[in-house]
Amino acid sequence: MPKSQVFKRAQGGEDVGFNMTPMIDVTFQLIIFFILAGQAASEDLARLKLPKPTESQATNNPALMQAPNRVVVNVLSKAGVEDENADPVFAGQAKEWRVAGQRIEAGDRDRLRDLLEGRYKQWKATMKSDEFFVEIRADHRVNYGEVEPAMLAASAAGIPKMNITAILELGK
Amino acid sequence: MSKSTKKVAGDETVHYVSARAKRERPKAKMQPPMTPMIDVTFQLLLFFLLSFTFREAEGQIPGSLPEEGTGGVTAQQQLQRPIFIYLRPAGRNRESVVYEISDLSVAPQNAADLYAKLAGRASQVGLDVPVVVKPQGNVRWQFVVEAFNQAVRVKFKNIGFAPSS
Repeated sequence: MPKSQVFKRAQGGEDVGFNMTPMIDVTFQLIIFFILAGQAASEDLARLKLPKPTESQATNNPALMQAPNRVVVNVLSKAGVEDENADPVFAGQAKEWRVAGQRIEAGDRDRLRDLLEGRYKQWKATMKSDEFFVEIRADHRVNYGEVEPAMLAASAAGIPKMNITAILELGK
Repeated sequence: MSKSTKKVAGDETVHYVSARAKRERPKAKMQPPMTPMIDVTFQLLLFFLLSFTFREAEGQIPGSLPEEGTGGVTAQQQLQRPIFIYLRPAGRNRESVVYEISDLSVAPQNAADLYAKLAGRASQVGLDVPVVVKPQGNVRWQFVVEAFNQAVRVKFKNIGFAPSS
C-alpha cells in the first residue's frame, strides 16, 4: 500500500505543522472589529442606562459628540448600571453628578454652577464664541427632581444651549 | 568533508550525494518565528473579548434650559399662550406616568397618544407656540425625555422645561 505524503514526511524527520495563516487572519479581523466597534472609553461619558423614547428624535452627530464646546453632565443612579431589579425608589435617587470624570455630590448646585461657569468662560476667552452647550446625560430611572438642579445650575452658569442624551432609534 | 557527501547522525558512513540530487532537493524555507506574534495576538483578542461591552448608540435631542423663577416661561413666551405638558407619576413604584396637556380635557394615554394630541394642537396653533414640559419632581427621567421627545417629533420650534411643581 502506498504511504501518504504526511507519513513520508514524518518518516523523513521534517516538521508537520498546521496552516496558521487563516487563523491569524481571522484573529486580526476580530481584533480590528473590537477596536472599531468599541466606543473609546471617555471620562466624559459615564456608564449609565439612558432613556429610550418612542420614535426617538435623538440624532447622532459624530462632530457634536467630539465637540470641544460642550460639557457633559452625567447623572448617575444610586442603583448603578448592573442591578436590573433595583428598588425604584432607590434607583430614583442620584448617586452623584459627574463632569469630565470629576464627581460632584448630587444636589450641590453651587459647585456644579462654578464648574460649568469656569468651563464656559474658558471657552469664550479662547474661542471668542458663545456657541457652547451643556449635555444632560442622565440615567432613565432617576427622578426629574435629581436632574433639574443640574439644568438650573447650567442655566445659572449662563450656558445658552442644552442637549439631552437619549438612545437612538434603530436605523438612524 | 567533500561537498558531495552527507553525514547521517549516529552513522559514521559517509554517503555520497550527487550534485543533481542536491539541485533537486527542496530548498529550506526561511520563516520568521510566528509563535510570539500569535501569543500577543491572542492576548489582545482575549483582552478585547473580556473588556468589551455592547453599548446602544446614543444621540442628542436639542432643548432649552429651564430658568428659575420664570416657571419655565419667559414673559415673551407667556404672551403666546404656551402649551404645557404636565407629568405626574403613576403606579405603586412610579413605573408609569400620567400626561396632561393644558387646555385639553382628555389626557393622553401613552407616548403615541401624546404625540397625536400635540400634533393636533400644532395644526390649530402652529409650531411657533412655546411648549413647556412641566414634570413633578418624582417623575422618572425616562418619562420626561419621552414627553420632550414627542414634542420634538411634532417639530415644535421652542420646547423647554419648567422647574418641577
